[in-house]
Amino acid sequence: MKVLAIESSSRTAGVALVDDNGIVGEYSINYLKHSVILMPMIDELLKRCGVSIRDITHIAVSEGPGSFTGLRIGAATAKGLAHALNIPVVGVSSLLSLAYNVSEFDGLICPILDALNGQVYGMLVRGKDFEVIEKQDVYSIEEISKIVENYSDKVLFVGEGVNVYKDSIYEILGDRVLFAKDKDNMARASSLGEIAVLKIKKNEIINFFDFKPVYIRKSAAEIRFGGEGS
Amino acid sequence: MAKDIVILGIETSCDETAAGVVKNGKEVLSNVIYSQINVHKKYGGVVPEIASRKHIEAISFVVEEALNEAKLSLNEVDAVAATYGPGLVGPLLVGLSYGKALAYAKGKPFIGVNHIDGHIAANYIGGNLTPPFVCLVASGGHSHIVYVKDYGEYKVMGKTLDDAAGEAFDKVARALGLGYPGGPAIEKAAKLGNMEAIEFPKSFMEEGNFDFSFSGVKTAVLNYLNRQKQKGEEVNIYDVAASFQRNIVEVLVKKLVEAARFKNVSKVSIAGGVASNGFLRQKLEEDAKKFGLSVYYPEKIYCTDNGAMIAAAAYYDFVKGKFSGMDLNAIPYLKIGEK
Ligand SMILES: [Zn+2]
Repeated sequence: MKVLAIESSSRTAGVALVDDNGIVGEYSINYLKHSVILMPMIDELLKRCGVSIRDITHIAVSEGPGSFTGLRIGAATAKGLAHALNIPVVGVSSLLSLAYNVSEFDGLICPILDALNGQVYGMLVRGKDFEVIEKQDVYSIEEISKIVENYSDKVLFVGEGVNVYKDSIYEILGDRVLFAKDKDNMARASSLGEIAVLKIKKNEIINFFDFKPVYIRKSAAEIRFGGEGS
Repeated sequence: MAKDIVILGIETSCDETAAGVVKNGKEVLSNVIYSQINVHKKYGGVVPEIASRKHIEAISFVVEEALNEAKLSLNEVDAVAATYGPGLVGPLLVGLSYGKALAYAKGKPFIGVNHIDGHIAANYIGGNLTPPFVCLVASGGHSHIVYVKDYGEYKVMGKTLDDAAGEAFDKVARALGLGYPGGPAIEKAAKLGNMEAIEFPKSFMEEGNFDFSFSGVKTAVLNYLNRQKQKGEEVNIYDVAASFQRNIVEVLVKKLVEAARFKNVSKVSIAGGVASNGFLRQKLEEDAKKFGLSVYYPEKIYCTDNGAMIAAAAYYDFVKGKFSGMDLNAIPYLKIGEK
């Protein structure tokens, strides 16, 4: 198994090569130019790892939530590669992937991404056993805090949303919450790739025709029009 | 004759998810267009975020169908091309990222194509038009008069200073309650009206200036409709549509013919969505004949946004060995003749 993982759901563009033995290599660039750097990064990574693109068996990609445009650059790249190679795609939640950065935390992990307008994309994962206990959705800071209050465990917030909402979360929840370090708040293609390996073992793969991002939110126009739509 | 060159072209700059396979820039082996018009209709225009979402859902199917219809596998394609501008950035990024990935994984050259270049190259499909000529490219997003010196070598002689021609059609059609997209709706309504009924002002600019402006006539139509409404007089929407269409077409044709004579070329062509307007074609034939100009236009299916035109345009880059890097970005305001 050779998984090429593509992360472009937020600020970080990342690519990683993961096989049965673990992470072979990874590149991350924390600079918004995904459409420019993703393909050259893939090329460079494979060259440096001595692997041909034709040896790749699965393309893993962050399926969302996150930046709509970022998700589509990743999805289009993943689908195009999978189409050319005739191999399956593995979609991985960008939030679950963020939680994986701190998966050994003994408590609850709350990955958050800024969804603007005072909202976050978030979910709740139990550390160590890495089990999702609250599904991913769009929450206001008050809503996500209320969910956290239902549990007595310590909670570690992780993800790009931390930098934006750290203070308001602390104001509501106080000392029972912790915040991950910058390096863990960055979306990592290697985390994505490792989750993908687990999913592949459970045969949770999808063909490239049917793969599409998970936006959670409708487009602004659909919301204005009355909520109906695709 | 040298080896045949087969190119897969992908186009997603607006609301059509399209892919086509073209041999030697002329012979279309397939041309698959998935139009989202019905999705955007209820919003009265293209919604970029919705268009982008539809593109990512459709792209693999459209590309696969284009290859199937051409009875070719990706291995047998010599290069992959995709539009990288101008257009809506979200939609552009889908086709561009897809095209780059396909080309990379197959070890084929990738060619980024200027969308306007594609519209012009649609004129080469199946026909025998060769440069030099002057081309009017008119659609919902663009209105340009372009001197085509050679394949892929352009000089913009004039452009709209405000609304694109297709945009003016859309806005007037909406005001008349004719729906979206405006071009075909106006053309249909105009057939039932008297095109001499109302004289809307024409903006011709001075001699030797090939720019045009359509916001004046658009405003005149809207004002006319308001005035009639205030006076409580009934409006004959068919007369308005016909008179408006005549106004736009007369301006476009006059400018195009003047531009061709200015450049001393013997051929003129039209391209883009507006080029499928029957009245424009007819009027151009009439006026061009007076000056001994031959007229060319693509089949209607190649006037709308499509993948075959992108593959056709890419062919001329391919033979010159002009390929794009994997770092090519989408450029929403890419100008014609810019690389
Ligand atoms: Zn166009």
